[in-house]
Amino acid sequence: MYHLIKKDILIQKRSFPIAILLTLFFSFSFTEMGSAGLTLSVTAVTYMLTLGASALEDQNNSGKLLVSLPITRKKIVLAKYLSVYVFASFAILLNYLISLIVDFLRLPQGSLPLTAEGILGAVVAVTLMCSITFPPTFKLGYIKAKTIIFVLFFIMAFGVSSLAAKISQTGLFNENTLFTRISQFSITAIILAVTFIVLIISCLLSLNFYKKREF
Amino acid sequence: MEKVLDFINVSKHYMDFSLKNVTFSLERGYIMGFIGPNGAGKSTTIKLMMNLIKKDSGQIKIFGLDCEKNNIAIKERIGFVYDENLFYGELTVQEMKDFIRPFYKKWDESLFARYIKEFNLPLKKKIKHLSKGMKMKFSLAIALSHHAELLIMDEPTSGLDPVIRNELLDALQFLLQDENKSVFFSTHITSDLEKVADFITIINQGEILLSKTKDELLEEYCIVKGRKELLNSNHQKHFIGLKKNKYGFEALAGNKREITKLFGDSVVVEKPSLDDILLFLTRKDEDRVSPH
Repeated sequence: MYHLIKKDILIQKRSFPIAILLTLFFSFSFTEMGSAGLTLSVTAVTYMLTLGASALEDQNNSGKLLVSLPITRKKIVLAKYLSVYVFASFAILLNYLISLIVDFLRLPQGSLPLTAEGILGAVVAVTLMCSITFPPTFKLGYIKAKTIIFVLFFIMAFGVSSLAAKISQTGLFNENTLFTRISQFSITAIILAVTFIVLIISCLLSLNFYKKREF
Repeated sequence: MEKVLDFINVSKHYMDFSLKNVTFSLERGYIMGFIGPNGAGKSTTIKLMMNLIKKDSGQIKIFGLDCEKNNIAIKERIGFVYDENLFYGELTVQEMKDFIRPFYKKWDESLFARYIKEFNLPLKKKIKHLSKGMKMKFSLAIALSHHAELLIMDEPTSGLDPVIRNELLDALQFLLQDENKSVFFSTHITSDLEKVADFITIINQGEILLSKTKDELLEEYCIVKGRKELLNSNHQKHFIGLKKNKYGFEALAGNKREITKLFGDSVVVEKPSLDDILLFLTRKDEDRVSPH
């Protein structure tokens, strides 16, 4: 799997300078957003690199090459999921390096704070985004799946906002209800658990789709 | 003799095309030329071998093993060359090789270095900057560098200039000096096969029309040319394919001796080329006679 992930990095040599510029842009433009800015920055860069790898794979029709090599389809799918966290680590590392440089040079505008909250937010966001993106991509190939992915994102955004509106109408988040009394830790644990379940479902779907995919 | 490749009644159906009960086999140490017009089912057959698509029925055995159940073990022993470039254009020749190498337990770096030298491949050049011929040679170098026992090639010579095609065919012949290796070579350029193939399998509209040794095919089959008046319905049953014009006829027959006996000196009997055989077998006109 290591070689498959390394390949996803190598084929995007040209995207890495863009990723660095994007991180610098987020770092200096969203400093005031704090942790949310970090989440946004890491998510955007990770998603850009993840989509980039899938697009290049499709452009070269290299799925056919991978499946022809002595590699199981399962490994190809799992490596793709793991590569997301490698890209996320790279984006976090970039932010860390920028903050070190900013501190060292004592630049007035500062940089995005490397908080656990921001990092966790980014991990949750990239996991959810890739969990939506990968199953259609493994079924149809990235180029054909693009429209479906867009529709899925739209449904998710619409669904989440209507759900939030419904919940707020029920008064669950009013003072002294159960939801306002549970700790921050428990909320984080719930979010992580839900994210993990979504990831597992997405992974199983991708494995099933890719097993049946014809080239 | 051990069969390295064995297709038994394999079928695969699509909306607009079907591969019907494909049966043929290839023994160890031989080159099989797989010919047929465009859209005949050559690539579909190769995709089934490579497990890129799933069969609907039948059995595919490679090295005596079930193709689907032993997919990885089989692919370790197969080298493949496709008609299109599937390598990542952004990677250099060296980087691409470094990516593929760890997947083969029997990868031989010195053998790869030899092919790189022989084919004049620039290791530092990006794949997208290589010519079609260079890409094909690189593909062949990769396919040959892990001691594959079976080489599967899907139209490797299409779109290549004659010099590169010749180089590629020479490399194949050199490879076949090792009697342990077999080659399955699909093409619609039949002249490539006259030089290298031991066996010929012809496919048309998803069906295998024949599978024989090349020598048997070229010795037994013949082209018959003569005056139209010589033909009668009794004669036509001896022909596999028949072409008539207002001056005479030209036909392909499957038994040279029978034809000589039948017509004597009244017709011209010639040795056919693979192209002749393919054309007569796959012609779509009313004079086409069943190949059986």
